[in-house]
Amino acid sequence: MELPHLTVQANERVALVGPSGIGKSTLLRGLIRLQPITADRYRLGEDDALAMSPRVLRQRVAYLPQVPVALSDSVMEDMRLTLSFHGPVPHDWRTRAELTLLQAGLDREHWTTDPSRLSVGQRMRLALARTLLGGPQMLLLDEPFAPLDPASREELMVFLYGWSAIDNHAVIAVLHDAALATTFATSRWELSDRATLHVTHAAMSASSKGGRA
Amino acid sequence: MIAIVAANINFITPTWWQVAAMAGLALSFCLVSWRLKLGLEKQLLMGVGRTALQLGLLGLVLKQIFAINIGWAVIAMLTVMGTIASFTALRQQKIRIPTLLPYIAIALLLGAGTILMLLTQGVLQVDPWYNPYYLIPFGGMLIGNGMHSLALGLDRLSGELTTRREQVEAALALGADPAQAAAPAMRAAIRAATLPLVLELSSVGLVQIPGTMIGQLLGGVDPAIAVKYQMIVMYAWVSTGLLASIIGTRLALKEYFTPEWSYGEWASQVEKK
Repeated sequence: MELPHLTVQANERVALVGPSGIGKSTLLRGLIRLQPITADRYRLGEDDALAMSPRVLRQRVAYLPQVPVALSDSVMEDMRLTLSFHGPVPHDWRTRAELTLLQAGLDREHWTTDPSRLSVGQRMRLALARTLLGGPQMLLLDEPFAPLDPASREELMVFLYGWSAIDNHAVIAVLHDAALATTFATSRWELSDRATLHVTHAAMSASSKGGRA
Repeated sequence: MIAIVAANINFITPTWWQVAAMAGLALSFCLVSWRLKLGLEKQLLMGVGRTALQLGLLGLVLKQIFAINIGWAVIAMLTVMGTIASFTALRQQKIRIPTLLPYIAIALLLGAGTILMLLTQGVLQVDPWYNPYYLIPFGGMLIGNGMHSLALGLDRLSGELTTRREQVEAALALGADPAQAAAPAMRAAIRAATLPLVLELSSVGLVQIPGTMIGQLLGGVDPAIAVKYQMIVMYAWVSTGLLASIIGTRLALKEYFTPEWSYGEWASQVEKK
């Protein structure tokens, strides 16, 4: 898949659309180097994302897979494990974990539950809370709204809106639902059959030089 | 080497005729196989032949080594055993990554080697240190056992990495390194590799007389001594299995991942199957 030069601004929300099997998920996974990509340049602000250690890159750019999976058999252990991936677990980890869980919208009553017994929506919030622990500046989401019920969907949308528009972070989300893409996103990347990309912007403008991602 | 022989019992040294008689018995089942259409004739014939050839060769080599009785010959013999065992462990993998070979060899060397040294030098204090009557049977047993645990552990590791891929990748995506992300898979692999040995500890001697004891009893050793050797063997066994599989899975782990901390090439081949 060849792509032109793309830029995402902080507070931008990109809807990544296109037919299934075209490589939307591959693109997202490539952006955290979970899948090999060849790019001439990939920058996060001033920093070269291709030279970064995977650990640093994956903290700064967080990826939420389509199906949220638990890492362990308890919500709190998932949070502690995530912090242990970043370095020695700080002694105030419990406070940080609790605040982040609240931020992601997972209520206190679920914190002692086995994640496999949570609903998909609750598990999605847990997955979101885990990614927020790394302090990311960009979130990559793969069909985040698809498995959710309308209430959870709305909550997630409100969260993402605030996180990007008010807290100044970037979001790229694979979206199937065209209506959702219009309400949610500030710009649109459309992957088409000839593996080219058509970029439409609602508010922002981005340069479009050659380059591969 | 000095066996305490139970009194008043005649011990038999088998002649080649007696061996041939038993070979003939086994071969006679070729006829049975042919009559019952089992289709085993060729393999049975080959197997009987290979047993004679391989064990005959082993006997010759051991006789030579016992006769030369020098340290490097013993070490050379153990090295050959370890090399064959490494290749065998690799061949037994369903997902065969050729670059695993050196790690298997190192894990065998460290696992079986450490326990063998502790046992023969530290505990039994054999004299001379390379005494082939101790080093070779113990060494062969521990290498074989370490090989089995390693083969089992690595095979399970690749299996766990395949079935738990979503979970492992979720951890990788959160910034975990392969060792952190694969920790649950590693634990499962080490457990799978050593559980049979641990269970064997509890069941040994209940149904059949274990191998080391059989050998010693046939050699005329007092059962009280044979039992002590069997215990030593069991404890050395389980220690080797654990040590080799812990070291082996740990060393091999990075071969399943790219330097970018993502799944290696093997994973996409598994997907296609």
